[in-house]
Amino acid sequence: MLSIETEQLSKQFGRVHALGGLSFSVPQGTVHALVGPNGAGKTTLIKILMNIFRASSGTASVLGVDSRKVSGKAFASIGYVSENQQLPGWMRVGGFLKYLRPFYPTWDKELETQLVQMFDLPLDRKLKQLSRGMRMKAALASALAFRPKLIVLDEPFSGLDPMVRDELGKALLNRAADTTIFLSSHDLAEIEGFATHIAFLDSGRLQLSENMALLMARFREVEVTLETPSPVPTVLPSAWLQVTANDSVVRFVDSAFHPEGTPAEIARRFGPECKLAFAPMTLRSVFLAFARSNRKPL
Amino acid sequence: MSQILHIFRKDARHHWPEILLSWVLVAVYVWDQPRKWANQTIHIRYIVGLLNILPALMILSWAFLIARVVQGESLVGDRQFWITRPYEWHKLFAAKLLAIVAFIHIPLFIGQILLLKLGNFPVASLLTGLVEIHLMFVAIFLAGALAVAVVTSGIGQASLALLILFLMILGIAGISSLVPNSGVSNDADGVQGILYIVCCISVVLVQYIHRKTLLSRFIILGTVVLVVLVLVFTPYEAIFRHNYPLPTKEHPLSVKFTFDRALKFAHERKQPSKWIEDEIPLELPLQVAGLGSESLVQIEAIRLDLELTGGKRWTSHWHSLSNVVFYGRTRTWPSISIETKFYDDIKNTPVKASLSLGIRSFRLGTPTIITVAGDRTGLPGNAQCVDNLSENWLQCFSALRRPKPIFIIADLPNQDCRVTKEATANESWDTSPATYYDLGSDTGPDFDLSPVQDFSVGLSRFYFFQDHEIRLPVCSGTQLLVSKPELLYGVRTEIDLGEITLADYHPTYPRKIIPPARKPMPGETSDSLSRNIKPEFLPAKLEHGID
Repeated sequence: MLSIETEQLSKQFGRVHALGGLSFSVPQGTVHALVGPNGAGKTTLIKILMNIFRASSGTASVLGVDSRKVSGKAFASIGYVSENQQLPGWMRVGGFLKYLRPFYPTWDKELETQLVQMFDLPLDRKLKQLSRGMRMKAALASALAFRPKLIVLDEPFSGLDPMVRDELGKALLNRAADTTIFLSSHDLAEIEGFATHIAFLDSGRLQLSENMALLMARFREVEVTLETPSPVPTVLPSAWLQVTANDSVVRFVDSAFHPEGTPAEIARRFGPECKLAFAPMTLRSVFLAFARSNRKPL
Repeated sequence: MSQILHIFRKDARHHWPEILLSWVLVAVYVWDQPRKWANQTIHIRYIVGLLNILPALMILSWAFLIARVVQGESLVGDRQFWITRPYEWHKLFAAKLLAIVAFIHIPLFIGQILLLKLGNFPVASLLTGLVEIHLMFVAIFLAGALAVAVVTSGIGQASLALLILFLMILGIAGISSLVPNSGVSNDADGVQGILYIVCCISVVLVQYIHRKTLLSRFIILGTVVLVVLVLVFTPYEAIFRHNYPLPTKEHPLSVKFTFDRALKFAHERKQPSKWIEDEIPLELPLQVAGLGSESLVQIEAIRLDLELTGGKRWTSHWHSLSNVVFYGRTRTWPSISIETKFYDDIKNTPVKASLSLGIRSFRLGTPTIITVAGDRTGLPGNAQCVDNLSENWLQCFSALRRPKPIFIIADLPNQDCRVTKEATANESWDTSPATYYDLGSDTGPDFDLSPVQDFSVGLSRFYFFQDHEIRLPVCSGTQLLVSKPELLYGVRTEIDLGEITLADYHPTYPRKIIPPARKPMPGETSDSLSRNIKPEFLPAKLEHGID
């Protein structure tokens, strides 16, 4: 069962192609992170999914509903929070939550209380008087309290201090068991902690979308020490990214690491006597390698 | 329904200061109206000033309230929290309409009922008419205010949009004044009104259903362009010719006009008045004959044709006019303005001229005789009047609409009801009967905030070759002959003026006609007695005034 599915989704703003033929899916029950540099099209994609923007072509469905029809009652199952969202500043936090309650048949008052306590929300303060972080927490509390089937977060950690990020992350992890979370972020370190799936968007094109564990498992920093300096072969596997050679040391990032296959492939190309070192990578270094190489992985 | 009420309650909580302000203004209005009816004055200048602009303040407060309520869930932009919440557009829209009805219509409705009660009108029978007024209010004002509110995201933007719309309306009015013949046909107004309503409804629906602000703004702009195109390309002349055909056997000209060559304006000061800078008014004396006692005509349009030296022809456009001619009138002075520059070029040169008039013929219904009472006098349409002798008129009140069309003729002045000093001094043979008329159509209630129409019925008659009009006192015991004119048809006619010098027909101020009017001779009927209609006051025996 898929919570989100897109097929050849494109969006143009005048002559600018914000998204180009995007096809991907978000399985139910996953925490799916959408990452990419500024201007990659993350917010555009999310706004299309939330029916705030209309796609220029292609289709998208959210919880089985065509994204162009996601409105009204459909939002009773979707919790959406964006860093740029305008909240009714004149409302107090308590009044805001109270106002939203009747809109959601599944609103959980107990969960609301828990979220208010967890986020330490001042119920009697007006939303416009809150700091950015507190406003984000209030928005998140209002988007989680009705136990949505899908939580969509657009840059939820942007501009927040580490403590608030940690609290938000924890709150999301608590909810991860019985919902699907789809979030965009620049903050790869935060995502690494709890995303089960990851998608990388660059210049409106999807570079990858896969299970986080598998991604982390297939990326390794590889250092090959040769017995004698020798030239690097001109033809290398496309999965080897950022290949550099220094005297007798060759370094690269293997984007298709296999505990048996990779050493065998290296031995075949550099000889059986070379020394090998494999180092696991952080999500950040995976994406840096990925972004810097001009090659598509497997 | 619960979502509608939920949003409505939120709006009521949030916007209570604006709501309270508009209610206070309505309350002040309801307090102020009876004070005005009774001609009570307040001696504090700034309060008087505020009370004078109260209707404008009320309308502004409503426009502000509508903008605030609608923009609580702004339809412009993509960052508002509510667009990704389970709001259903039709419920949101219904909640906003409910707010408008509850915060604007109901208080106004209650205020209007109170005013009707204070005016001693039967409220129950007038409720339908009150609802009609509110529907007109929706079409004329609320639809526009709502359309502005849905395409703007704040009060600043809304104010700017209103300013732009105001300037556009001024621009359209300016264009209208430049379009030939546009003043004599209302047909384009209906089309423009429909365009306005369709535009407002479309914009509001597009915004609530799709939130396509750019499209909505284009619809508004497109409507303005369409209105201008309709204004410019309406075939006014053809419509006018259709509405005012040449007389036929079935639709004859019920009055005969002839140009009175004997009368001119004196130009002693040699300084023609320039009260309209770009245009010069000309007034042309016409003798009136052949109008039956049961007939009435209204000159609605005028056009002047000139044959200049060298055989060149000059024709003005049709200009709108409202000269009413009835039994007893011997003259009328239709007026037309021509460009000052053109006038200056030919004003002293004799030119051959002819005048075309567009005329509506009315038949006066069987008259009712109503005697003015000391306290209250009833007029048709449930109007109640009290005599205001100091102002020479009856001050009248009616519910929802003024009595229209109406034509009143009275035997004034008479022995009990003498003319004013001014009128006595001006008395001459060339007088007309004392009359009051309102030839407006009788369709529906008048569009007004107050359901009580406060109006004056003053009976006037013309002196000095029927060029000068004076209102006469209406005393207790005076008999009013009240008829309901029925519109029969429109025709147009042409009057040959022969050779004229335009300068002779441009009035100077003070106006002076030559030759002077003849004064009454000693022994002739006193100026305090009627010369218009016989004292017996029998409609069938109406006689022409001495001429």
